[in-house]
Amino acid sequence: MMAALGYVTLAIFLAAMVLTLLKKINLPVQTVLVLVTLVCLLIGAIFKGAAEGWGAVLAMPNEMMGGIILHPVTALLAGLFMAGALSATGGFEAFKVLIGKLQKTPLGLAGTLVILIQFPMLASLPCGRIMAAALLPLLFTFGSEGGMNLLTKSQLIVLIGAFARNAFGSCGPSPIGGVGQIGEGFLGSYFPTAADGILRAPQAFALMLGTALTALFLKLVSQKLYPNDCSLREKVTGEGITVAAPHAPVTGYIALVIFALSLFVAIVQPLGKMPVQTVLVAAALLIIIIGRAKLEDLMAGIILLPVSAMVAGFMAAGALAATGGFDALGTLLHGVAKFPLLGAAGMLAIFVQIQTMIPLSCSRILTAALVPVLFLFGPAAYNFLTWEQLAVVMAAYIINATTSCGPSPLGGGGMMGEGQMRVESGYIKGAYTFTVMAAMTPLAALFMKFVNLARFPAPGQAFKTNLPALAGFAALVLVANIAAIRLLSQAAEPGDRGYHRQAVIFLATGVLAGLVLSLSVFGWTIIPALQGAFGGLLAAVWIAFMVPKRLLPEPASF
Amino acid sequence: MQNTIFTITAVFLFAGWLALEIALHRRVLRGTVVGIRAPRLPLAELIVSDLIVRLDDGREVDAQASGCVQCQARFAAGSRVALLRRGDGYIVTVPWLRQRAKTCGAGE
Repeated sequence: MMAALGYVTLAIFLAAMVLTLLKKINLPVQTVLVLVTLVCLLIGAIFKGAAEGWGAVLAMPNEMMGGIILHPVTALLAGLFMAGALSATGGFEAFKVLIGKLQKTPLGLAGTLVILIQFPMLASLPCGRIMAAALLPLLFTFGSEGGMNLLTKSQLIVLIGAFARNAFGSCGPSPIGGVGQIGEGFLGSYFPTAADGILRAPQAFALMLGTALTALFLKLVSQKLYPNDCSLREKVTGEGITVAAPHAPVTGYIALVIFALSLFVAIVQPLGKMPVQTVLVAAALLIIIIGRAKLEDLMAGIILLPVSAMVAGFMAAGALAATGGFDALGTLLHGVAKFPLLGAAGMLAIFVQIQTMIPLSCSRILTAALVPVLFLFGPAAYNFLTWEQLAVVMAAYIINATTSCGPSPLGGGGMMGEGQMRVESGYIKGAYTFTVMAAMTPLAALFMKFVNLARFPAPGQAFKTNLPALAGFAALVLVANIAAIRLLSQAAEPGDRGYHRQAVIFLATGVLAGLVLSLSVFGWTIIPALQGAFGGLLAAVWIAFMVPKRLLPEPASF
Repeated sequence: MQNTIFTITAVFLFAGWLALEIALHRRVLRGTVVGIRAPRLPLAELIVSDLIVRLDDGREVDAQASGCVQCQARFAAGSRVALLRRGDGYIVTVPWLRQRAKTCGAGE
């Protein structure tokens, strides 16, 4: 009876998420998640009350709280509190001024743009939307509409698309409430220093290279597929700079300095071991006091982001934990792994892509629910994986998860951008899904295997960093991706022509991703490699369905 | 010691979050979306949407919804919204209850 409870609550959670994604439930995500939490707890109370009595029912709130991973939730709240303080005191305005001045340095325009594109990841904020909101207006000014008239329409599309890709994945490696911290919490039960950031570098590595590949995809494929669909204006010959230079209050610069110092203290810990959250809260309070931020400004700065939606995801995960939903999902996937064509390798190749397959507006919602399941695949329960293999799979999973809000039809960056550009669905979304599936996921796995297992050793383990192997395999993945983009570019034609050739190439890169993951996890063994490739193919088929081939008035359906 | 500091910080953050929700509930003005202004720049809705909102006291004001809020809540003409005054304008927050369906990115 109690096993059935897990399946019931799991089914409720997944159904609610998919129906919200398809817009069949017409409520904000945060409301859906809170309702799911309440319904799961209510059903759990009925089941447990009938089977085990009142004592079990009264223990449920504690079980739910135990299922919520506190560290990333508090770090997220602290990060967003800091973002609110920066917003209220003009910190982001000061940021824009500094970036604007950067192009007058020897870096020039090209160097400034490259830094700008990667800046969300460098800034390490817990949600990429914060930096996107702060810097996107600046990006527009480089084009014709914005006044500077420095970039052509094509260049501006690439710049904005690649910047948004980086922003909508930058929440992963953030040390202040980043999505990766959820995985690090679990890996910490074996790797003693995991909380110092075992998943941070693999994500940053994959995101940097993935951003570059996104730019290439937008330039060579998207613009060829939809040559006339973007409403951005072309560069006007002869027009000069007409945009006014941005201004920022002094408090904004002070806020920026305090923010930078707090990041340094939180990451490097020069003052001794101190919780990241405490450092951020202290710094934010200092900014508020020095900047004399008004309560209204502070509140307005914080509510720009749906904090409640992010926290509600953790609540739903806690309810699933209390009612056995994770165990049910683990058992189901355990069954899938017994299917001969898939095996554990194939199942994992699908599992690491699952958040790109079901892209929600904030990756934390599913990550909080699915990372505990991934943890069960390790020595803690099903023993599919050793701890080291679990770390490799976790790296692949987390980068895939954190970038999934980009192509989400529920307020993802790609969707909002496409809607505004009045372009066909798939213009940005196709680039985002392709690069995360085919490049970023395997690249993160490779980095973990060849570098971070050595840098975050477990007791009694002595892995060695193998940079040549990382360089070789990463080059292989990149060359395969660039070749695939070239082939897609040759196959790309406006309309439906060439669709099948494009689909075949897209699926082939899914196979490659599954293959690389299996090789990274299980080594040079034929059967897991084939199973991983097959799992990668199935994941790619699903993802391909999510990227529509023609203009749709509504987001793509399954 | 470190655990104590963490606990105090966590309590502060959760209490702050709850206080924010309560304060928002008490301070917000309520109104109905009359329309959504066409963005001044392409892609601008990724950052912010400009809404025209009729407050319950009859005044019509301009308000801003961040791209994140707008797409999660899917505001359209007729949607009930909650607003917070900021400087000389208003900011829209994600509501907890029913919204009317709207395609993200489609301005009026």
